[in-house]
Amino acid sequence: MFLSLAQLIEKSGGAREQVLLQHPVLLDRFVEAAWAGARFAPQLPVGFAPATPFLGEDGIIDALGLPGLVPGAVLPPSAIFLPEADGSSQDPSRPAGPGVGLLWDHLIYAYLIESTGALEIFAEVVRRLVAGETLGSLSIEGTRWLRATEELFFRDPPLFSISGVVSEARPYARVTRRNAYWRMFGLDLPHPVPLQRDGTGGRQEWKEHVGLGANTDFRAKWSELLRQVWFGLVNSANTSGANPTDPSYVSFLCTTLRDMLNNRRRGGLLAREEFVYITVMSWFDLTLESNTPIVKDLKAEATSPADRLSMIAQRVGMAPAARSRELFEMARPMSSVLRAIEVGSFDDSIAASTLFASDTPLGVEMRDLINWWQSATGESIKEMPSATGVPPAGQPLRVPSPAPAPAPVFSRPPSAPAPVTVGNGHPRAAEVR
Amino acid sequence: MAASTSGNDNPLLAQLVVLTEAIKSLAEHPAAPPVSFDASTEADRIRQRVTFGYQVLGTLTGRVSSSSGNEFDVPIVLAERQGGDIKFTNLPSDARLVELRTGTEVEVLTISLDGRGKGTVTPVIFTTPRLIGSMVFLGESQGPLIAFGRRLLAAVDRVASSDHQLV
Repeated sequence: MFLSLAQLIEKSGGAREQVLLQHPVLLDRFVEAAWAGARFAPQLPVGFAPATPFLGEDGIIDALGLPGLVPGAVLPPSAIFLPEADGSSQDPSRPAGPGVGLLWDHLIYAYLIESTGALEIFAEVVRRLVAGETLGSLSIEGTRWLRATEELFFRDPPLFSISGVVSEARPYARVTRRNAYWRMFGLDLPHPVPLQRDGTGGRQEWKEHVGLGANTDFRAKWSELLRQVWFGLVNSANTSGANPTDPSYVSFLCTTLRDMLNNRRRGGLLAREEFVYITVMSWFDLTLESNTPIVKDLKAEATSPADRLSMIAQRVGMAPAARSRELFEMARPMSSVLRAIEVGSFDDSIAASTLFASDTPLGVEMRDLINWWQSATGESIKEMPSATGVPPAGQPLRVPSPAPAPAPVFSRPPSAPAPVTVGNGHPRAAEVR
Repeated sequence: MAASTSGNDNPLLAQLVVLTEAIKSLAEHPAAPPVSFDASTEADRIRQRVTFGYQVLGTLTGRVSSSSGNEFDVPIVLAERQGGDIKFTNLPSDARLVELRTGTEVEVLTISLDGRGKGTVTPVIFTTPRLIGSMVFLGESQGPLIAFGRRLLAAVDRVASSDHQLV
């Protein structure tokens, strides 16, 4: 959500990094208002009849929002002061116009950003900055960032806030985030939970608590979708010869992924968690987006978020994920594509063919995504069937299997099915070398 | 010999710098060409809408367009109910029609343009007590799709029309 706020500030003539200098109470109000403002966002997909409710249940926004508060529809309706072109600020008490609420990224965005190691690295930066002088002193702007970061993300959230997804029932934020990633994607983060911060001594009991409600075949389906889209992209200009592109199969894959993701969203499940985790990760993403004051204070000026993160990590004796560049690059496009799949944008073959229309923004992003995913995971997406004129043997015989049935309620949670394991025992999107 | 690197002093060098930057930009950020479908068939019309919907999604989530494009800067039209009418502001100059939609129910209306980016429609299906899930603004009935508007809640909108800030 903080990237959206940065965009709003930029469009009103300010600098994106102004978000990082706001008082934490104002930022918290913005987050609360952003949740409530989503009720004014149009039904998705725009221009079509919705296939499934947004977040699994349209009523989840009102159900979890603060009753009686009707935010202005134009965000930000909180007390964030947006600069006007003349340098003045908007009056925060001015009634908002009849505009559109914002939406947030898909949970995959939080997963990919956290996979870079950014959160753990900044946790150590914050710890060192408040515990001593090993990182030197900060500028006034850097001190503001430190205050907001510590208060918003490294302490208990305000009472009754939408961001309050830490409690006696789920006391460890790191573990509950992994729980959400595991349920939605069947993926764990590439780095382990710091032992002093998981509360279970590394036993990973949280995976057992999930039961059958984990999309353990997400990665296989997603990779297959990218592979099929690649066929479409490379053959889009074919005027003769074999063309293995099958828009119908691409559409089946999208529908399978849609069902899979929406199974985890029944009744608005994970909606609040997704919102909060996106908010957390967008803060660190924004921090690394440019040479912001804290980046300068840490002497980590560089030309890309991955390089900045790497330099900051060096200051505190850590290392980010080896493929963090790809993870940063694909976080937002993959989020958009998964959200579009989830709301049913590609449920028929004609609509699905847009994924490999190379002359559209979507086609361009899909091509980039294939490259980034391949590079991040080491999984070859572009392997083509033999081009000898024989029918493409690489094409699957059957349509994708349907999504697993919903997990039974009130039954003792069985052990999680064993996923494909890589490295330290967790399936993961990013290789860490 | 004093060799100036100022673009003002050496137009050829300035053009070279611009060209180099453009090539670098193209290499790093392949520009998404503008969506300009000739929606002459139903398939084209669907693809046009899917692409537009994807761009709207990017706009709503605050994505930044590529350096040489504006793919995630889809215009947003402000809308509010006034009696049985819906008043629009911030209308793009080429918007002539609005498509109101909730689920599978659709109503397409011609906008009465008031000038200066304002306009009005009087829905027949989506009257005041009805939720409007989404609004799409079009140049002609077959496209292009130009802008989008908010969800208009039937009950909450009464409050929203006189709403106050959270603070």
